[in-house]
Amino acid sequence: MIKLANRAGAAIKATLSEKGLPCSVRIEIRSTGCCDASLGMIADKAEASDLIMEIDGLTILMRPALYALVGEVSILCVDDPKKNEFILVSDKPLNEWAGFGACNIRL
Amino acid sequence: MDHYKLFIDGEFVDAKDGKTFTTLDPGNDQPIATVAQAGIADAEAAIMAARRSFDSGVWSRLTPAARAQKMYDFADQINTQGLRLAVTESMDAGQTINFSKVTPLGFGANMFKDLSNYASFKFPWEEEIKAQGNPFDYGRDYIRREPIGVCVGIIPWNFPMVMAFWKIGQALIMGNSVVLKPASVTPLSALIIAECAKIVGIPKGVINVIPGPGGVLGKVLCTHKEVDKISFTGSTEVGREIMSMASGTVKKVTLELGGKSANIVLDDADMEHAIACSAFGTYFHAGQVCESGTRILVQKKIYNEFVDKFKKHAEAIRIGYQLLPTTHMGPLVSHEQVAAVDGYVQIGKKEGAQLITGGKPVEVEGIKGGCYYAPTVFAGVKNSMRIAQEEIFGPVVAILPFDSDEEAVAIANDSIYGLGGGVLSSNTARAEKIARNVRTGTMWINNYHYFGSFCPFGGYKQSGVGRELSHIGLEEYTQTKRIHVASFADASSNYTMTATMSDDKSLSKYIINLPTKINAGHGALASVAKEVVDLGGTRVLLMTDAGIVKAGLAKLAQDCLSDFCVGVFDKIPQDTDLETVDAATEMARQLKVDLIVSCGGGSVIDTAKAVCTTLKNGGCCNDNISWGRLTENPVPHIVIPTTAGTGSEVTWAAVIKNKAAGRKSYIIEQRLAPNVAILDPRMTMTLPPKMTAGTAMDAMCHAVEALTTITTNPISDGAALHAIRLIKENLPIAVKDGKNEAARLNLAAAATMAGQAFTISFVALAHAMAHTLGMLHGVPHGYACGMVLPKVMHFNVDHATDKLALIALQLGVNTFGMDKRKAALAAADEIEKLMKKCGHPMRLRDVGVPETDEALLACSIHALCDPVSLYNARPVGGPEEILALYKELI
Repeated sequence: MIKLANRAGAAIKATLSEKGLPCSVRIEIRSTGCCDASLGMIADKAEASDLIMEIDGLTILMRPALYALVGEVSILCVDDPKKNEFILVSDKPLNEWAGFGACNIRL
Repeated sequence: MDHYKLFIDGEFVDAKDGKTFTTLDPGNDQPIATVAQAGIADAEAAIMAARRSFDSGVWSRLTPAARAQKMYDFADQINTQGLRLAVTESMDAGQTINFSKVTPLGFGANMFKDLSNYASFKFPWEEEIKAQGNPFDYGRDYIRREPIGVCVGIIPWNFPMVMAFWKIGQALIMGNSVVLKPASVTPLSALIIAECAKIVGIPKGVINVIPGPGGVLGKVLCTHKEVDKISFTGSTEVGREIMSMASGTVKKVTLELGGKSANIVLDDADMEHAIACSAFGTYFHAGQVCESGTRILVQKKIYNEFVDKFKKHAEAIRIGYQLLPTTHMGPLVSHEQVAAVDGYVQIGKKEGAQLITGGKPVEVEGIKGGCYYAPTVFAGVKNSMRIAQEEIFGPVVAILPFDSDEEAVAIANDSIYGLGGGVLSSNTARAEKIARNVRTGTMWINNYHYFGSFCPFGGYKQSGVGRELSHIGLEEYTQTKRIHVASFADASSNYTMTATMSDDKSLSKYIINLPTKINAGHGALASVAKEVVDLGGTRVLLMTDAGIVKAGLAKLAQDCLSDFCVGVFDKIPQDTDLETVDAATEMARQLKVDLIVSCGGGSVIDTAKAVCTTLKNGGCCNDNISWGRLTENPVPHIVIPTTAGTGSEVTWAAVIKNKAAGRKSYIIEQRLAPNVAILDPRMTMTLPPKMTAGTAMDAMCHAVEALTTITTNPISDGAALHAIRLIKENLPIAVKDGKNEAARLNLAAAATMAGQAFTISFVALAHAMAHTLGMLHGVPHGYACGMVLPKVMHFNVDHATDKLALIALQLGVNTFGMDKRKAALAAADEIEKLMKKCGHPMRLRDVGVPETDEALLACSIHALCDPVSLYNARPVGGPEEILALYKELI
């Protein structure tokens, strides 16, 4: 369901820990303005219907409908460590700009 | 099924790698066409085609009028293809046919014609800079606006045809070549527009259209070195990345991004209109509009009624297939968009907002598939909720309550976006006040989604950078070039060059502009009425001071002006100031004065000059402190000097005290020279001997400094030398016998000539030091000038030796056998002798200046900062040099 590339997992956990939040994020569709929505992450707790994946102490959540829509999601960490941003790409891209821009974790 | 190809270099071509994709009708999920899918090689080919066409000048170097003729043809062809464009757009993008059928004419052809016509006849392609705002140098400067080059347009899927018109139209009208990347899900209308361009003969390479994946093509388009500008409409996330990529090659970028606009319904709004307009503001094109009013802010008094009626209105909206004319609201663009919208509805419910209606995908009877979503209303929304902060881009509205107008503005502004917005009210003034305070690019009052070719569109904050449409949008497609032509093809025409890079600081250029008519002689005062008539004056304000009134001179002037004089302003102090000018200007405005006559000394004349320019240009005096800014003549001005010293009757300058700043300010403008100077010796006869000496030394200082500045020249030298001779010969006579009319007239002539001389050549350090004594210690200007002048002459002896030696001759010094340096020093000594002979003050204590180190150091620093010191023959190194000169006066 989820692939974590390079140091993405550690970076997500560090971001959550810094704010004292549990190591749990949800993959969601988020609008970022005019037209194309993109995949993003939000700190969240699991719900009954969620698909759940645990990787090295990090819980990643996804609603089944979203998984059906976009397929497996790969999470990459942006090269610049100062930015604390991630690029999410999926097997079935959400739109033509998928993976072009970076997102941060909504806390 | 139709197949559409890429449009590159004037030809429809398949992608180099042969890839294609299928575009779907979102109303029924059926494929409608296959389309060539551009890759990196195609993008590069399109960019280079645009580059070649631009550099060839085949389009970029046409006149705007010639381009306009072609654009008119282009517009006509769009109209011809209007129905095809409309139907294709509806099927491709889901727009209702009722909208798409008006798009080709309303948003394409009409806009092409409007803006082409504007570019031909009104756009300021070249603009003269009438006043350069450079106080030191002269030249012609003008602005040229030129096409930028290769412009990339990247457009979204919500209004693909309108966006293609905007990006192609504005770029071409302004002479650019364009590469357009339409959204992959809605590529067809842009390719039909390209077909129109080909039919009417837009030169090859000027328009290129390359549908393809944004993630792949975006990188090439935004980083390619041959691309000069990017105009992107789309999401903030992508826009941010584009801006970042474009920074690598420093491209001009305009972005039109997201919004979360507030539509504010006031308690005095017409309820039925407010409901209809807010619903249109939200649900038009199923809410897939970046400036939609998706936050409806409703005043608490009418909140419940509004929510009830709005719910009913939303539920009555007919959802249907977009090509049916009975449909109010068509599909969303894709199933992914349906998922994104539904995700936000779930978030809204989870956040605790109250779902009033909608909130789910819907099926349309008789259609299998399609991306339809019910008009959705949330009430009880807090502005901090995600559904109030994030752009959902679907038919979902959040209705929020507010108490006061101020609270409505605060809620509206509490957003990262600022693209659109509205106010609904029966009180236009109240609505406009709110509209002015919302930080957003467009505010509609009692309307929404209203666009026009000449109305700029764009966003504040994270809604974007730059504007589309109107003259502002057109300007975004140009580069600005300034062309300067020096008035003197010589190094000395550039003050900075000479001051910094040359050992010889003198400036050989000079400009003579002495427009003042001079009426001189016994009884010349009587000419004033005739001069008023010749200048077209009908209502004259006489400006003077209390001393002149007391001496009876103002009455003489007023009598000569007869009925022309509508008022007298006589509250002018010895050293005028901003407040005095403002008071006089106010009086002149109230009296509807069209000409000023000043009767007095330098302070009166300078006040009048400042009033003339302030009356003409508006504001207060401080708004009009300028040095080379005026482009129009001030109100006409006639001067009747009552002293023989200031020279202000012919100069371009006015010196005005700024008490708050503790400095004297200058207005230095060629247009400031009075129209007429009336030199009537009778007007100076009442001047006491000591003041006669003081004012004459002001003139002497003008003449000596005009001879010794770095801008000295033969013409001003002639006037200055003769002025010195006249003062030397006539001052002692006038001091001894104030009624000697011949001596008085000669002194008046000397003062005027010295004024002309320093207007051409400027003054220097002596004036800087004298201004300081006046400003900090209230020393009358003439006395201050006289006292410091011989000391400054000594200071300059090795930098103006020849001129100072010439002055000695004019002063009657027998220089036979002297070397030039000794003669130069003798000139300074002779001036001191003249001053003593005439009872002129010689020491600082004589004029009440404290002789302490502290006071004199303060004077030195003040004088160093006076700009006229820049013109001194000997460069002034630091305050210690000036301090030494002041100390010589102890």
